[in-house]
Amino acid sequence: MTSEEDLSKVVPFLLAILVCDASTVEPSSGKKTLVGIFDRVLADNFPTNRQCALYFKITDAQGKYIFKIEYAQVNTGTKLAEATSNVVSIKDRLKAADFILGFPPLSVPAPGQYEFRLYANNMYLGRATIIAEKRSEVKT
Amino acid sequence: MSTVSLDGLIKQLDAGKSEDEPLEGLLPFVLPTMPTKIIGPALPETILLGALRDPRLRLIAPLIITFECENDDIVAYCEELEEFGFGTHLTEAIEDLQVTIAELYFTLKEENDRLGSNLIRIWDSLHQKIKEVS
Repeated sequence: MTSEEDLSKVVPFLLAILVCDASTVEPSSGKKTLVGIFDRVLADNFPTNRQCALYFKITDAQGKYIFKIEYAQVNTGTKLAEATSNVVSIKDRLKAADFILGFPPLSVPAPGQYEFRLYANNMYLGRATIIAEKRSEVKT
Repeated sequence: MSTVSLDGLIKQLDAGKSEDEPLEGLLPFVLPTMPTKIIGPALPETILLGALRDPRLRLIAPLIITFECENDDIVAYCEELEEFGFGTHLTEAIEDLQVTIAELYFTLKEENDRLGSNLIRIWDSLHQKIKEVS
């Protein structure tokens, strides 16, 4: 069990954060493949659900980290989901580390803005935003 | 839309490996049991700010930010720097504060030889927690 004192105080630098339909990891090299990167959700009706994966890449991190991702509806200020990682150990501060997280279908209750907020050891690093729109109201 | 089941991928790899090696880069996240219900308000009392969103600056130690609702706006406050950020939602307030802190850093850096005692204290805090990226 890792106590809070064991967790790193080094602030990672967020290089990228992306939302996509799905992602895979190549087992021998650890290379990631992102399928269907998006920042907009179109639906005929709301509420709807959307399966997605979150990719993020950090650098300047060293030590033990617990990553937390909050999925929130921006307009209403409600947190709809939260995922917390186990302890992840990062050895080399000079190298980048990237991670993916596959979410189960997430609720999109209404058109509007949603965001995934990334925290490392409770330090806010950044966010990825998606916009949900009704298909009939989108101009082609 | 075709999707790739991540769960299926993990099982397949585990079955094919003789040693129990974790799949590097795939975070062992504990997923929420009920991810589609509202689990709480998005406004926390405090957060640790770990980034400034200014490519010239890096935070080397987090800043403690507290939040308050004021009418329909969210106020993000950094007590040690005596700076506020405002927005219609949480991240807008955080990002406004991030810009304000970056502006404060460069203003105090420029006026460094003309600072009063309070601003010298704030500059010391900034200097301890922020470094410039060349």
